[in-house]
Amino acid sequence: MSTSLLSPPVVGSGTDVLVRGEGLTRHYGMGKSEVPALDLVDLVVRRGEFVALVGASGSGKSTLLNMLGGLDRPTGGRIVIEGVSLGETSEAELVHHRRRRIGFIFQSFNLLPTLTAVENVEMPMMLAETGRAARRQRALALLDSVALAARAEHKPNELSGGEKQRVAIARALANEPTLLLADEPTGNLDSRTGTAVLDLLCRILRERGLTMLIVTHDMQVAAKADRILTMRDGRIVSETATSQLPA
Amino acid sequence: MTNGDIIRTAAANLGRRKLRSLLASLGVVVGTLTIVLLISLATGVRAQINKQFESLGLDRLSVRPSAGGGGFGRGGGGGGRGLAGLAGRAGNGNAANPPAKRMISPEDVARWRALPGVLKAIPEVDLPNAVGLELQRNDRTRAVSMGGGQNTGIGALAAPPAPVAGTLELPEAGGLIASEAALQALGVVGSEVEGLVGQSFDAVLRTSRGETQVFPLKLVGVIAGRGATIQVSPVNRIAMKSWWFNKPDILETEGYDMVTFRTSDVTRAHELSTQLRAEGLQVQSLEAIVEVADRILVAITTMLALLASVALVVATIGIANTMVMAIYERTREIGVLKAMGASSAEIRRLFMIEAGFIGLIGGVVGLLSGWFAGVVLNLGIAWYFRSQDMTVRGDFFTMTVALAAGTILFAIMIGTVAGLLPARRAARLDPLVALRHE
Repeated sequence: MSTSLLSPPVVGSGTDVLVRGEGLTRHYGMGKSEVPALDLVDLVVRRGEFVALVGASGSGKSTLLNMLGGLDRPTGGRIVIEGVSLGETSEAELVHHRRRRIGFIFQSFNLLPTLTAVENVEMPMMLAETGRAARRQRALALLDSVALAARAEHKPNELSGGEKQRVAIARALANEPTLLLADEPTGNLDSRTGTAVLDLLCRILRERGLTMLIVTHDMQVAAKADRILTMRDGRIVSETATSQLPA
Repeated sequence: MTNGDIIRTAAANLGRRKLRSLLASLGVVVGTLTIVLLISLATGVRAQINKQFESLGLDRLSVRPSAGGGGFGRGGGGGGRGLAGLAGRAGNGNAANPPAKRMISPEDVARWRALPGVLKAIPEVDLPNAVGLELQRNDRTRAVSMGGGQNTGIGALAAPPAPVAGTLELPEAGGLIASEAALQALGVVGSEVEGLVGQSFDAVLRTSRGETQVFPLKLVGVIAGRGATIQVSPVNRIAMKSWWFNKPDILETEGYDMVTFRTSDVTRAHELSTQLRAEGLQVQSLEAIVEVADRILVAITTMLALLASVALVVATIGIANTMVMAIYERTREIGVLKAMGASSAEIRRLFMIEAGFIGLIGGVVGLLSGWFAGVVLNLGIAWYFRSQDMTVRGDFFTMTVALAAGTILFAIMIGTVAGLLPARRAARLDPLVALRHE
């Protein structure tokens, strides 16, 4: 049985709907038995929305995020992003999806250690075959937008945690994705730096009209989102519009 | 990801593990160095052999009577049989019923001299090895050996050397060409050699029973050489041989032992050799020897190159091991790249090009080392030959553009092949698993 805790109810496939998941399941084999990581999840995310996924470890948040990012495929149900059904699409289309539509932000930053900040930001554009001059120009502009222009030629080991995450944010924006997926982006940062990074992300979302799903354990972080989806045992068990939360 | 970006990224990745990349390429260095040295040596030696044969003259050939029938008794005519058997082909060999010996008569020589394109047909007569030959002048006697026709190997086809004094054209009979060493054995010092031309000498044949026969000769020319040798005309040799075997009609019954031809060109030499083989004679030409030498050299080179390729097999394993380690260390990085939209094919190409670069580095270093070693060895060989008063033209280790290009391409191929399986493994990594890798 799928969860019906979707707000607002979505009818048809209006152009404001970016992500539509119906009856999503994902089972992992554990020896002879199968463990459900996602269990009949329905989900709709509108363009420009900021949605937080919260829940205990193993509740299925990251699995859902990876599925949206095209890193994993559902074993059941359907997931459509910008009209493309990720479960049935080819590997090449999935690569295109990750390259063009998605921007990942990881908890542990995952910057390439041998590249400088600007080279890290350039990497997604390199994969998208953007010209050298154009990608350098855009990477510098993106670093400037996260206030790191002065650190462009520094390698990750010369940057603080907050700076690394800002580089990672700039990198996620490199190919102008439609959907940002952030997995505990403030998890490895102290609270002050985490707040600063989150504020930066929120500003970027507003300025660029981007859609973002964020996985977090931190309710203060989740409170910044438009909606909070709570997951348990592979299901979305509750949904809260943050506008309804007490101040 | 464009090919240019993949190449730049691969090169940068290698740059961050300089020592490991260099160590991995060491095997390729050893392998390519060995192969470069061997092939450049084979190329150089081949060129040397060809040069030597060319200087001898491919327009020359020699014929011997067919191997069947009679013989020369006490070891006569043994000098050139080995090479003749190798290079020439008897026209009518039959082990069960050996045909009668096809001898070479004075009429044959006269007929061949009249053939078109035959510039010279010089008959030769071998003296038995047991003949005791001495050169005598003014009561001084020294043992000498018979040169020229006696040494009927490749030397018989050789262009004559320049004389030290006089001429090397022997008259019909009574002429003598002696080596400097033979004259020195008679007490002649270097400055006196020139004045000896035209002087009388005696060639003395001596049997083991002590019988002797003197053949008066006049010195017409002197040749350089360390061995004490003399040369006389076929007429004198016939006379010596007749006395030795006590057969006055030996030319009529045995014929000549060999005839050396000089033709107008290589094509005519080839045609003549075909004709003479058809006449049932053993033909020895440089063309055939060059072919045989070439075949032997190719076989030896191939064998040595195969041995050297063992080093390359080891190198392949070394590179594969390095790439496997690199992929293990960079598993998370591969996951990040895939999350950002790198395709499996791009990951595979990236790692294969990295492995190819290791091969390229090894190939370039191996090639340069091989070239440098060749230059040093060439200098050493040239020095050695000079110290032995031997003249060598050209190099023994010869590097060609084809060898250099082939070596580099081969080294890149070795690297790429070594990277094939590790790269495939990297490409097939599940991005989620790779991202979780610590």
